[in-house]
Amino acid sequence: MEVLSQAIEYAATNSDRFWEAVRVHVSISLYALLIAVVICVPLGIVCAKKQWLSGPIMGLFNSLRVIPSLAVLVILLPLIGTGFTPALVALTLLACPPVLINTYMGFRSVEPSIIEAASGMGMSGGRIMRKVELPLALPLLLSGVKTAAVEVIASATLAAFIGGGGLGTFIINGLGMYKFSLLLVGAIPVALLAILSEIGFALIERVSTRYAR
Amino acid sequence: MSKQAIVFDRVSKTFPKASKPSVNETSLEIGQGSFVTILGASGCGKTTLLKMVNRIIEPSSGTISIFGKDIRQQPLTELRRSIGYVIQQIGLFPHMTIEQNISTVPEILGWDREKIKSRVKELMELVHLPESFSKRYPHQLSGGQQQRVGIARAMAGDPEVLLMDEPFGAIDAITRGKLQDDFKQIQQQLGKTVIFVTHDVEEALKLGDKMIVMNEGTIQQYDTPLRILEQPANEFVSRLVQADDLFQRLHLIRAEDSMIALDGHDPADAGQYPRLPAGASLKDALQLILKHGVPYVVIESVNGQPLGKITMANLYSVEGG
Repeated sequence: MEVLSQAIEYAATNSDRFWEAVRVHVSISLYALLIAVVICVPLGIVCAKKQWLSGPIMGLFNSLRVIPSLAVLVILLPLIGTGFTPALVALTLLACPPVLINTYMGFRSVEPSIIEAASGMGMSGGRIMRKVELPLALPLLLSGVKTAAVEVIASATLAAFIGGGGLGTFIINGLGMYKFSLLLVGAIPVALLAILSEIGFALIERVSTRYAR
Repeated sequence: MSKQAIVFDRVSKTFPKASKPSVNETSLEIGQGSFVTILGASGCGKTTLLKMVNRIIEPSSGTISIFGKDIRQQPLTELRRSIGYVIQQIGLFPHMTIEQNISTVPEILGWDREKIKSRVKELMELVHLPESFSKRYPHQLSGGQQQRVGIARAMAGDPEVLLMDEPFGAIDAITRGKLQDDFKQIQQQLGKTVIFVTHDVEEALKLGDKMIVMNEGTIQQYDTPLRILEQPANEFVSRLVQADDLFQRLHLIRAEDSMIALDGHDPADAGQYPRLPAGASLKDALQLILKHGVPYVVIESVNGQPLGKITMANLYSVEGG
């Protein structure tokens, strides 16, 4: 209990640094997620439409996932140096596979007969995508984004290792100084952010599947 | 002679890597307002033939025209909006309400809100769906109800031509019978031209004004169901439609068409002889004769006026052709 109150006290007295860390943490996570969505949603749709492409693309992203984020950071270090950017690249790579795979699965799960009926009625390809396929694939797609979000928020602590800032800074310092309370200043908000994003996306998912209830 | 709605001119389709054509040099004319059923075993080319009309499948050679116009002359989406399409899997949009499903084509056509709303209402009435269903989602309806929505959706843009690919194939027998009756009535009421693919002999005989029997990509016979039963073109047709099954045939002949005058019928006996409505079939008449052990049944008009009678002699003559 004492550690906890020390942690709160630390955060209160260093509120500027604390909030700046939260801001960096959230923004680096959001950017990574956004870039992953922008790249992987179209890629996942292409994979679902062109089966022959899905093997190589999915394979590539899955093999990237095997590399630990920390290793990615180290590999990137000599290439793009330290700071925000390499951390963002590493987190984006981490966010890609779940978004890609779930987008692919979401679009593959749309019954071919529904698409046949739609095109048989004279809906154009674009209209079928907007009005039929996307809404039907959305629940699975969102669940991929949710997984990615939680992973990214948790892993964004690693950004601190290469000077990317964020809540990881407190954790590293706490570990280095054997100061458990300082470690908690980073760890607790990260856990809270992860839980919040999980709940947030779960709610959006629920809204997107309203019709099935 | 009524106008030709759909004309196939030497149409063939060979799928890539297939050794034989699915549809082989087929020419065919379908009159406006007629209900044509296509019967055949799976793989006979009947679905291919159907799907070439709205270009879900493109012919390898030959031309298809609708009301004299080659179907390749207009944009694909426009062509399809002018043709109703109903499939066995129904294919309703699960994330849209019944109302939204039915509105699909009118919305693409850019009708105004009020017009779409009244059209949906009208169609739901037409296919016998309660208005309260309009805000429901497809999964809340039974299979038969869903296909009623499928039919309403296909008819929303008021197409002249309806293509139906085994629409009642996945629906239980009792519901199917009712759907067949209702749909046949809708078709007659609105005078739409319908091509209806099925592998169910009874369904093909019952619904079609004319019927196509297909085998191995070729039309074996194209005629009225009764003529196909009476004079099957070949052994294949005969076996497929069970032409030797007299009940099939009796079922297709309307009592009204083969009844004889009420000579010698004593009006005083009126209560004694069982009666049948004019639209009933000879099969119904036979059943009634056997059931009551009477020499004949009386055919009556809608308002109960006796029109004629069916005797055993009428029934015997069916075999003679």
